[in-house]
Amino acid sequence: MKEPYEMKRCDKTILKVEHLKKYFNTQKGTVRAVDDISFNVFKGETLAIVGESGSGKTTTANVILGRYTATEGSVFYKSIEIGSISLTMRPIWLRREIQVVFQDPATSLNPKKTVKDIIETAIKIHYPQLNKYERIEKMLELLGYVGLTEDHLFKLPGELGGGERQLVALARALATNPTLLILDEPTSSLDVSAQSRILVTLLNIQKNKDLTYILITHDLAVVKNISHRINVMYLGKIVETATTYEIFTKALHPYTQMLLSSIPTISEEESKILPKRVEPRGEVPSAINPPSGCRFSSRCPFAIDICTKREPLLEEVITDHFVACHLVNKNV
Amino acid sequence: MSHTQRKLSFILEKEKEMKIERLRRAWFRFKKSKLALTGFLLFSTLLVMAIFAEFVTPYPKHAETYVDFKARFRPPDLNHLFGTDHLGRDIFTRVVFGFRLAFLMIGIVISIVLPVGTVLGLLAGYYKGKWLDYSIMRAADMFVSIPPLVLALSICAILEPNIVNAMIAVTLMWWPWYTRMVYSMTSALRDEPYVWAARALGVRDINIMFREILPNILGPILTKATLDAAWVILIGATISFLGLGAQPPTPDLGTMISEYMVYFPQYWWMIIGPTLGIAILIMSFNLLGDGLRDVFAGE
Repeated sequence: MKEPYEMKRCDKTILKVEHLKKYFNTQKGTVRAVDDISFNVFKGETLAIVGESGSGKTTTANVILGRYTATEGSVFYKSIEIGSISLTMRPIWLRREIQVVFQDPATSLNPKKTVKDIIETAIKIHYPQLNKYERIEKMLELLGYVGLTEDHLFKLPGELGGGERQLVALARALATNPTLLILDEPTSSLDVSAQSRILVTLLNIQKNKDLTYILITHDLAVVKNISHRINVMYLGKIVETATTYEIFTKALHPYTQMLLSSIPTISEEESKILPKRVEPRGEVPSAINPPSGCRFSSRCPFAIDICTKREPLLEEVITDHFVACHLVNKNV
Repeated sequence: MSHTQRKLSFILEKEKEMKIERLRRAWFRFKKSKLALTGFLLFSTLLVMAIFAEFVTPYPKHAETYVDFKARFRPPDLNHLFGTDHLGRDIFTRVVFGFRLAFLMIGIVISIVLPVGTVLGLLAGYYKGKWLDYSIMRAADMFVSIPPLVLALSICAILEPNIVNAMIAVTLMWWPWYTRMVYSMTSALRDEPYVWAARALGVRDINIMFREILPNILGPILTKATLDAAWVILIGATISFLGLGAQPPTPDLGTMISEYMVYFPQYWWMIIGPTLGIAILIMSFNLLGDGLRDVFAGE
């Protein structure tokens, strides 16, 4: 686990999400994928967004990337509002600065293009002044960052292993020299050995290039290893925000405790570290018709009267530790 | 030349090698199927025969206006492989010249329909839900809703009945099918993660269409074009057979069949030649198309 991460108040805020809402209109009704969330991302940190499927974490990432535009609220990148601009409308400098690595490298790399063509596309756009020799030099440099060699240059994605493919996707994202990298479940489609290779590479690159990561994942083991801060999301809401150390040692929200206690362990020592088992009731409710009051109230084992009546607000209970839970907030 | 430069040019050379290697593998997949290979050999033989028709046929003069009443209605023998017709012309010669016309028709129709249909389909599929999609696809629907033969016949009847107008008719009725196929494939691929990754990199729409999406749908397009070439021959022959395509004495396979039909069944061998010609041409395209499909499926 990472050392306790001191959140520096003077840290430069690179991305600011304010009261972001993203609703989708479907035949069954309005899906409130993301419902009024706010958070900041500081330069050089890794912010993890964790939660079960349907918690809105990928939607949040897609709004930041520009795949969707926000229904309400705003996303400020370096004090420019980008939440309402779709990706195709964004200027080229902005696209250069926010890059993405998708979940499944089998579909995020064009199956008909060689690794060289894939990376060259990015280089041609962002470094138009380079000639073909300089472009190759640049490509080799990028492949070097992610631990690949020139032997991979002329292979098709189908001829590479899963881990290597994801590294190529990473090299492509780095080709534009971005400031903010959105990692959308970068390891969940890979086998365990490939996962560790990706994580180590990500850590090294962050150290060398002062990159900011937004890591979307449901895998708490990954989060524990590389992120500085964690946003826990449930049904379109942020329920807890704290540093990784705080979350893993002093999780306050029952949902976070539930997530943590469901991590599989292999030894007794490990299971001692885990918080005591919190058994949830039922399944994740539909985002079309979320429970009134606290959204977790329908599954929370500690729910009391007020939980179904009033929505808890995200409040700072300890320094830099925000929780949205009536039980916790009352105690403070 | 410095060390790094030598390394870089070595890498560029290696790229060329890899491209050749990929072609070699595609050829290997193609020739694995004996039928596809047969189709390819048949196709190339017919093509060579058609191109050098003047040199491979015994009586090149018989292709045009030529009359020799002494030699009319001769049954097949070694001098006249398919016999002679009512004007004493060698039918084999005329069939080979008929191939030339058929290939010309396919060539011209494909070289118009393939690019036009593909580009329109890409545009409509990529801008799905926009006005461009609606205007292109509704136009395609309009052409599709008219029965193909009626459309072809009316065009040939309004304009002059000749081979050029027959080609125009076939082109007009064929492009919507391409556009529809490309449209459905493009609209399926436009939300693939690699297309979004390209957008995130700042690739322009036009380049996304032609460099990201097109390579992934090129296989089915080419396969369909080859298989449909057989269909073009058939429809061309039908138009000619009905007397609205190539006019005699032009050696067109469909026209020949309609001309020689009159003498059936007394001089039955006369229609064997052109009929066999059409059949073998269509078979070669079908086998070739199947082989191409295997090549693209194996990638």
